[in-house]
Amino acid sequence: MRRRLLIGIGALVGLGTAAAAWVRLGAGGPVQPFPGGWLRGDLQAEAPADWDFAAAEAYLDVESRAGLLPYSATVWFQVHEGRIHLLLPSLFGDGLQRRLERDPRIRVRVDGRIWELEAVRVEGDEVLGALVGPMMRRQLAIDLGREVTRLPATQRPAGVDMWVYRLESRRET
Amino acid sequence: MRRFLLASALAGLACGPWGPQGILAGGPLLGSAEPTLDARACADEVSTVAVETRSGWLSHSVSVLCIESGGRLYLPARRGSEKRWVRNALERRSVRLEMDGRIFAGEASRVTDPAESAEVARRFVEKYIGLEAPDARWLLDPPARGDDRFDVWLLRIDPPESA
Repeated sequence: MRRRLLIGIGALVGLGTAAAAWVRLGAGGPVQPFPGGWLRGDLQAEAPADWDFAAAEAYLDVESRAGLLPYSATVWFQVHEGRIHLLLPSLFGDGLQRRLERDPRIRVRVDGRIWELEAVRVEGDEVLGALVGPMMRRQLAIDLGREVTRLPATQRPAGVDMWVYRLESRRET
Repeated sequence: MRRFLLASALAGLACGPWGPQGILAGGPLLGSAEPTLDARACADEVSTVAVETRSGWLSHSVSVLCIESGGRLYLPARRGSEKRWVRNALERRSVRLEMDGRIFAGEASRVTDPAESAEVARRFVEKYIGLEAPDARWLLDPPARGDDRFDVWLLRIDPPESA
């Protein structure tokens, strides 16, 4: 009886491992809420000059190849002045952010099409309200108001941050 | 072979029905509740807490975000009207929480007061986003037709004796 129970548990774990491997490597992208591997889609030769069309999407699928394996995730984003800005709260982990710091090259997928871009960190507070405000309102029903500043690191809980990246065409950087 | 099966069994235990496991819901929280609800246990370093609610004889526990504001404890819930734990908490009022390794009992109620929720919103933005937004406020009324924001409910957890 115990042997059969252990075999059953082992089979379940095996199935779970296989499913996790498929999600991580074979699904063609992230399977919410889990990160995935390669993004499946049609690679585009040139990036558009204006990304306003992407604002119709609720979230953005992105892929980094900074590590041994491709890493894709579904992320918050905002189109501001025609450029895609990734909004990465530490609340969801720092997997993508660590990879972008290592290698800023990134792929994004919109409507089945893939573009190869480069992520540039945005540090200042000038556009923070314009970038983070709409996303906070939509995702968390919080209206930030007009005045939004980043807390100094010493006043934030350890590890808490909102990383913002502007995506540029690779040839521009 | 024995080591593999033992490892599999141990891995299976991690998914057992005793408290939530990450994003997976769980069953009852193990342990006795402390005599007094300590909202400060939801410190800035505590990212999530486990909340256990009951429906009939079934216990249901999930991991949720928490905010301490003015000595009181608040739990936000995105799509609150659809969440089982929110429904249970507001129907039966009594909940159990695990915060920072400690178990507490409490009574849940829904926050709708704009002034109260505004301060909680500011604390949430500081704690989880690292931003200062003195004019922040939580939009707790149902979104109007065409508004794409999520319907967020805010629950306050009070000590059981304050019911």
